[in-house]
Amino acid sequence: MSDSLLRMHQVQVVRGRRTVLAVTDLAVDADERVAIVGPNGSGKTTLLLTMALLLQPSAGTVQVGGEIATRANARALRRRIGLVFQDPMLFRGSVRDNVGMAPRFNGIARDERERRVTGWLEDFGIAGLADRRADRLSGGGAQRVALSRALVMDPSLLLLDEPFAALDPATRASVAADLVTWLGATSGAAVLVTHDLGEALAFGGTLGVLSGGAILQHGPAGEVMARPSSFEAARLLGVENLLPGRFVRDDRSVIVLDGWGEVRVGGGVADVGEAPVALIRAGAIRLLPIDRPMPEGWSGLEGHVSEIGPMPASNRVVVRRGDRTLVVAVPWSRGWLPAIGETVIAAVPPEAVHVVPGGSGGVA
Amino acid sequence: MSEIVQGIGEAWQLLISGDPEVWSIAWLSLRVSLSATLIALLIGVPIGTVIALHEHPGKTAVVGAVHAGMALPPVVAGLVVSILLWRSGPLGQWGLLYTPSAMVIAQAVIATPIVTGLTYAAVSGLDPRYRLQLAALGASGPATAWALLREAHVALIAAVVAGFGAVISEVGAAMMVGGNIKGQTRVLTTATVLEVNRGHFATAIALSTILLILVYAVTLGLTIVQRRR
Amino acid sequence: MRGITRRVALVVMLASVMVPTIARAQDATPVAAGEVILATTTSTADSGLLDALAPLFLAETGLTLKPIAVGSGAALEMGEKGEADVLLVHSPAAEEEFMANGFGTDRKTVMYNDFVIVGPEDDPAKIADAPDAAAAMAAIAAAGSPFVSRGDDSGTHNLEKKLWKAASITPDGAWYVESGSGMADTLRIANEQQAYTISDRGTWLAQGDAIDLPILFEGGKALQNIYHVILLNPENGERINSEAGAAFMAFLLEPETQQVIAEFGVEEFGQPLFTPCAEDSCFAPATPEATPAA
Repeated sequence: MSDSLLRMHQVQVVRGRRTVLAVTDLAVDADERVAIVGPNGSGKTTLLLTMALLLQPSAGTVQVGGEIATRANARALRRRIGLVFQDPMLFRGSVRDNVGMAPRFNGIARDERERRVTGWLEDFGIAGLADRRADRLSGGGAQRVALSRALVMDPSLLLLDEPFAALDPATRASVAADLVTWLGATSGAAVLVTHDLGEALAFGGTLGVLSGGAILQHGPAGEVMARPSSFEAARLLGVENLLPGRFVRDDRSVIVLDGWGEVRVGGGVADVGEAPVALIRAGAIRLLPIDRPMPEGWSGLEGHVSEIGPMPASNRVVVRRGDRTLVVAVPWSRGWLPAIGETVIAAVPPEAVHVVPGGSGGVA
Repeated sequence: MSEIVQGIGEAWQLLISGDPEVWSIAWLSLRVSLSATLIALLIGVPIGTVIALHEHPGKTAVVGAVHAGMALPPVVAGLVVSILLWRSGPLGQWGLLYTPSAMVIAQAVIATPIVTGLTYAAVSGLDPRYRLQLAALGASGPATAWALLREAHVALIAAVVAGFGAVISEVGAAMMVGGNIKGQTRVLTTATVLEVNRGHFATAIALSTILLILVYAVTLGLTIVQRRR
Repeated sequence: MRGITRRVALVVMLASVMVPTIARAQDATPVAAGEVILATTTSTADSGLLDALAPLFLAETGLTLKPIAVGSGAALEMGEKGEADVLLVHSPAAEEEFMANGFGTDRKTVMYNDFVIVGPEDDPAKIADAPDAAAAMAAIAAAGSPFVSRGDDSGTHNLEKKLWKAASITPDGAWYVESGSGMADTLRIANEQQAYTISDRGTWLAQGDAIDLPILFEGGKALQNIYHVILLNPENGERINSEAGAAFMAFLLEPETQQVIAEFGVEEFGQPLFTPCAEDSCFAPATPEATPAA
């Protein structure tokens, strides 16, 4: 615990009478990469500003490098932290002036400053822009400047507040790739907050789910994606099928999904109460013609195809039974694609079924 | 109507002929108003910035007071400064009343709340993330203030223009603390009033024209600064 | 960086404009010597007479004249508080009270001009035929014709009040307007409303074609406007410069200055605005009832 680079403990931020952030315990290790995904208004920026020691929490402590942040030492501790907002927030002056700000504020001699600035501009491929006016840059160029500016002091923690949200997809990919390359080459830690799950996943490492100011789930990205801990987390993590049902055996190995029938549960059961919900990702389901035998141990849900639409790299097929629907992703390259109206079997492997408590699941 | 045409003609004549009295009056106007504006800047910009950057329970009251100060009638400023500078007043020993310095003081009193209020508005109007970004970059308090003022420079120049415009066009306080003494404290506005009282309307228009040219020249210069970068 | 350099240059430029202003004022600081503050009336200042006299005074005495133009009432107030060194005023009754209270040590007649009653061309109150000024005022009141008063306790206002008193009239009603302004403004207000008013001749002449109010009544001792110079009692305020005040009093009364006063305004208006009167004998009984002006 004590070797965490950053640790938030029992942190609360209260605005007026509303608690906008309540983080019981969150640690970032020295070389960890953390992506926090959360919808608008979930407290992402508040979380990031608290981590940046720019916002004094109403309760609790934030430790940086084992040292508890106070009003007195915040400025010194902040030297170890770089911050990039969604908008580049560049100041009047040239690109060089902007990237050189932190060294200047920290009293670094001119020669050393120039050396560092030039180095970072080269690393981000914008050395040619050094003497351009910062307010005349393209969106991608400006965000690269903002990144260089945040990194020029070699921070041990880089904080990113949706830094790519304002960029067009192509630029976003290119800037993000540069950032990931840099992150791979450094021992520093980085925290990214975003509303975009894809961006969070591309960041890699640890994934956190933020909702209503609380971190619902936090762990290795693959683990979190595979086993959302709650209904709300599953929703935010993009699980397409959240199907209510009830257990029929004490060992909870089979769940009867409302309107669909029995499904074997092999993906684990979170501590559920009265209203269990089965989570099944669209990509884990296979569609079979009605007369085709199912793989051993899988469960079959019968329905008819009501809708077919494109998704990245797959077709999105909606299978309907009564008023219930199931979303299935059929990859373009393989798999059988039925016609609309055709009756099909949606085959579900038990390990793809994960059961969580129902309801909103968020923190009140 | 004819007075206006005649007056503008007279203004050109006065300017071209280089009438020493008119030039000295115009120069004094410029000197007094620029000095007052500079003092107002030196006082108003830091105060406005501090008000904008600090949150405290009394902030609304403080901002309200500054805004009221922006509406301070020049004659009230003139009266208060006169009373302070009277021979029998607390600052009487300085002997400043009826000197250009007294006019500078009175006009600075008028311009300072204007500059303060507009600086406050300029800095408050910035995206709050600029300030957070500066703090994240390790800027000290003064460095933060300086960078934010640079960011707000367009609105700040507007504050300077407003302050300068208020004082150079002002007549009540200039008359009261300056006394409109020929060759000493007569400025374009008080000279204009005097010429109106003397019935020399064309001359009054000529002086007004010179005042407008002066105001235009100064504000044009400030606008050039404002639009740069 | 270049931006900063330019900004520094701008500040230096502004400072170079400002510092001399302050410094020059500091040079002029010696209150005891070098200048004399004259509290006087707007009519003398507006006429330009003091602007003409100041350089002569400076040449003769080395003292800088600082005429502060306020109403006679305010000028006497300034004298009482020691905010001036010497007074040039025209409000005889108030001046006498001032002297009686010991605020002045010496009071001398300098010059006079006269007041005139002006009004609309057709003279609705028929004051042109009045036997004296008080009767003219009574006629205006009786006819209910509009009358604009200065209403500012100036010498002119005091004279007007004296005339109402002599006519046993308390002016009141819609016809009686108080402008609260100086003489020139009051004349223009009267012109707009085609009302009667009382003005000193100099200010009336200065308005020229700007106003369309002919003189309807003039002459008579009651309309004489006598200017006195008053030397202040040094006890009124510790910073009163009595020597400088006395120097200005002496300057006003010497024959050369009196000659300048006699000729002042002839060039512009074709007639003098003031009649010099250093000798009190000006107003001896031998003085004709009607002034010869106009």
